[in-house]
Amino acid sequence: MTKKQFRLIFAILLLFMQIVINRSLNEYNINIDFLFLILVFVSFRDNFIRTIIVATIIGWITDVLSSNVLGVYGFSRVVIAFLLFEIVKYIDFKKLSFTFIIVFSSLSISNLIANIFFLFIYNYSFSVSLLVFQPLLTSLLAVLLITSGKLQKTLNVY
Amino acid sequence: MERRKGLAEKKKLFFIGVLFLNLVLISNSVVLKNNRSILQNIFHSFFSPFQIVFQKSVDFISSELRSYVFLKNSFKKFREIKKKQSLLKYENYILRKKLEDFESLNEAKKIFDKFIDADLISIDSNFPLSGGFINKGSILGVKKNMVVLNNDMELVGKIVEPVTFFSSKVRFITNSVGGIGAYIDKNKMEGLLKGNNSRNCSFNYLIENKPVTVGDLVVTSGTDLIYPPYLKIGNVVKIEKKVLVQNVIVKPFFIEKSIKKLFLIKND
Repeated sequence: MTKKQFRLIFAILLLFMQIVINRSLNEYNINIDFLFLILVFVSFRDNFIRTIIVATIIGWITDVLSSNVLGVYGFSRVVIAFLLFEIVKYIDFKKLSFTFIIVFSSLSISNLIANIFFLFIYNYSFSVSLLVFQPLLTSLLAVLLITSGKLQKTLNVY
Repeated sequence: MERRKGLAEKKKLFFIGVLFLNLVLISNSVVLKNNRSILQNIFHSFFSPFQIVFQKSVDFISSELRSYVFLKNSFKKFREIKKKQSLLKYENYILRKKLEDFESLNEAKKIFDKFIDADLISIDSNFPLSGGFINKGSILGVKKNMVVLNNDMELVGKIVEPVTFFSSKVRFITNSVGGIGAYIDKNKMEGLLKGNNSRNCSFNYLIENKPVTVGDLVVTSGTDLIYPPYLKIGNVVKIEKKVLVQNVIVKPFFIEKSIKKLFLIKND
């Protein structure tokens, strides 16, 4: 299996898990954004245009899955993809703490942007789950995935 | 340099374009007051089948996994039950064997219950082949006229008086007193076998019409109502022909065997 095929299967698997977990959020009480991990890995290693396109698609899928206004997550993910793409050049991702901080803060900011839109459109209040718990769990998972040696090599994170 | 600048400009434009597109989508939703736009419908229509397929796949996989786990557990339980069954079969076999042994033991016990084993403690010093004393008496159920056998279940004699609590007298078949109803096994020629305190007994006055040969087996007939039938006594060792009759000398088996250990048949 080539690295490209592995990355594709890995992305499909994450999408698969996102769909599964979205349906059983109330059941398991675990809120992880698996799709955001795809965006993080893509922004680590791909070019700008591809990162933006992937961010848009991931944002739209998140919108559909969360049954919200189409474009909110699309917008927030594109913004954060741009920031990630600009930041990753200056960060040493061999340090796991950096990975954790980057994933956590970027997902938090992205969710914050989306939450601001929800505040304006639906008058929703800020959600702690979206701003803290989801980024925390997602960043922990990102660290776990990156520490896996084979995955590290295949995804070309460093 | 200029090319790179142009590329950066293009990137910026692309980025802003994408952002703008998303903003248009958002504003579209707001203007439509939460009604879905055509683009949103198209996107949903495109994505929903994947979503359904994924969810169905997960349901299928999880149900299959559950079935697999159930089957695996069932198979494990089946194997355990099978193992237990084998063990029980084996146990059953062993118990059956033990029961069989126990039953045969009981049978043997029933047989041996009919016997009293005894040791010969003394022999008449004057007439050694007339009789002796055994170490079992009336306290253990020894009674007069009980038949006495040797180790090989061959006739030795019978119990006679005196029978004390702890000892009894045995009269050997070679004793000159008394006699035994017996016959020659080969031709069923019956007569009274008598002893004479010597090593042999004799049939007196057996009619001559039936031939007797040396070595013929002599057994009890049971007609005397003391000795049970078919007990082996001895072999014919000598035949003396007379007019119309013949004297048959019989050598009892017990003579040449040890009689230290004896068995008494209980006469119920």
